[in-house]
Amino acid sequence: MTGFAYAWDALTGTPAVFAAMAGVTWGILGGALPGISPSIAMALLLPFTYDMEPITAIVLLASTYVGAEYGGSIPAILIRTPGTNAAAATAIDGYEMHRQGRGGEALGLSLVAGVIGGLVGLIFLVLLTEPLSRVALLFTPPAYFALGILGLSVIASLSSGSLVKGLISGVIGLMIATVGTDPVSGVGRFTFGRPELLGGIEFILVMVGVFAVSELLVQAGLPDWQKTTQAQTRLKLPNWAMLMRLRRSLSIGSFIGIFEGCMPGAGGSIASFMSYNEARRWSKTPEEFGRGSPEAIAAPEASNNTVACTALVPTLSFGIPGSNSTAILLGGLILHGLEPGPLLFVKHPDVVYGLFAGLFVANFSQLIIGALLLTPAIWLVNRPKPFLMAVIYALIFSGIYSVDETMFDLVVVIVAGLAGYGMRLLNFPFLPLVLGLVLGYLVEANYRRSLLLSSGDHAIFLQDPVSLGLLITAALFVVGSGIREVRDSRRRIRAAQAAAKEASS
Amino acid sequence: VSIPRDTIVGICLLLLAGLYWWGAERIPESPLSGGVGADGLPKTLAYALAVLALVLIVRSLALRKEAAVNRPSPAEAAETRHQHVRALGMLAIGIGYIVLLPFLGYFLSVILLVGAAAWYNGKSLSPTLAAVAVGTGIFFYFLFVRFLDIGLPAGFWPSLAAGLGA
Repeated sequence: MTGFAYAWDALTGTPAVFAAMAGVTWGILGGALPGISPSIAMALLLPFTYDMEPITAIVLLASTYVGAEYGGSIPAILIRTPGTNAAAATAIDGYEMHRQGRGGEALGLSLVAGVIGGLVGLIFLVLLTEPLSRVALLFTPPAYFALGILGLSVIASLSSGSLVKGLISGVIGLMIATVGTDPVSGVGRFTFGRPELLGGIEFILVMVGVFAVSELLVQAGLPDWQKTTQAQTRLKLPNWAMLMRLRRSLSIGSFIGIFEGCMPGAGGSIASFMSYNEARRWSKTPEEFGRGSPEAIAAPEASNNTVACTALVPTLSFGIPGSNSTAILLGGLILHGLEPGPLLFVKHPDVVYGLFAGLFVANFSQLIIGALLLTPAIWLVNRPKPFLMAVIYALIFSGIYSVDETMFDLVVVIVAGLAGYGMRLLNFPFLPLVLGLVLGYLVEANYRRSLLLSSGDHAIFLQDPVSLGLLITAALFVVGSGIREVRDSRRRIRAAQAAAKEASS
Repeated sequence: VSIPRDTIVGICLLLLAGLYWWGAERIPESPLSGGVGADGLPKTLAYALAVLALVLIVRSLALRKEAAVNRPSPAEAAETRHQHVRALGMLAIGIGYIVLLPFLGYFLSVILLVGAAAWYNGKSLSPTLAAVAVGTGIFFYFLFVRFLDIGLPAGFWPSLAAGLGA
């Protein structure tokens, strides 16, 4: 069966089309709310995917990511408050256009640039991931273990904050994953006699806690965001001449999105700011940037929507998510018994090609849904923040209870929320924690499976060429980041000494 | 002389590593465990966390002069404290919901949760607040209990109704 046949089957034989459109709808509405990042919108949805077919759940989550990237630009343009981090670059010229009475034009540009970027990203996702399926047979249990270690090392090295904090975060994620029944011997670990812990701590609870609950705790201390008027916000889609005028910035945004999406740890925010700067550098009218230039909207919006697709390349191929959103998607895959990595293409081609088909529908339908949802999204942004926060809080608790119908899950979520708040406060990145938690079982199972094969000899990890290569790469990442951090620390110490000397004199 | 924040965090993580090791020591042995044993990875992780915690402590002590230079002003510190108190209040509302849910049942608890969270975040007590809380409660009740068929706690109402019926 060819990839196209799998994709067609998914579109015609499963609710993937509806899931794609529902995901885009939820993503746009969620992304439009300042503070609700794509990852939070996805985390809020995760409990509801529990009983769904894997293909439906994965398409729903991935489409939410796509929709949220556009949704984030709505408040960025209308109230200069980006709904998502990646929309921060759009706020600069988007809000300026809105002030000039061109808000509808800016929103139309954002929508169309996002759709173009998303489709370019999808093409590259298909082109880049398909060949990787051919290396699947090279992956043995030691190689899978090494892949997990590489993923954790790369993410810890590249996450925001320091390397040591990233590594600590990853180790704690792995520790949480060890709670419950041992996958090999069946003995209980860290269960404290509680039957609820025998099955382990569901990562869905930790994800919702650290992403969504901690965001509500942060928002409780912040003032309400600015509101907008409905005036000047009739969507105006760009015509062909305008698109031709913007082709350079669209190309720049898409190209940077392809590159950044494939790089673990980079994400849409970096891509959109890089695109903004590059579009200005290559523009014939750079002086218009910052004063309401359409090019300044097209480039970052194309970029962050390209990232929404190309970020799936390392996630699907190697199980290494590049961002919080793809970490949630990775969690969704594992939740439905799908092991990410090269074997995913061999064991579950229906899900992979079905996801591609779903993303195709999501990107196209975004054009229509985005136009239709503009007014509801503006209405939502204009609701008082206290009501929105209260309803989201209720949604979190209700959704989490529906996973296993136990009170214990609610306690775990609230504890995870408090831990997430602490992590934000102390600058510990979330991504390594989530990755450690999600990959913990795979890392341990493959580690122990390898040692069973080698009768306990750890040399097996160095004898397998793929495993050796991956472990060397992981070590290079950690050592490289360590050297960089020591250098940075020395520079900061010198700067602090100079500042102290200046203050005393 | 104040202790850098990351030093305190490092000490707490060292304690966590010790506790985790202690827990790993108590994992029962099994003949099915294989060469590594069920405690193999947990003990490795406890070591790793302890080493990383020590690195964090050393690093924070090395950077303490920088931390002293970047110390927030009293006004900034007061603002941060205020934000933490707000966050704790929000957390307390969530805890209150969890405590009340088994007794009051889902419908009433979710109304109270929405009402309390909205009030805490700045909405004054008003008919609008009550309408939003009750409206959300009704919508969520029909969505989760009736439509999705989730067995959310009913609270003491069924036993009360049964008692009154008897």
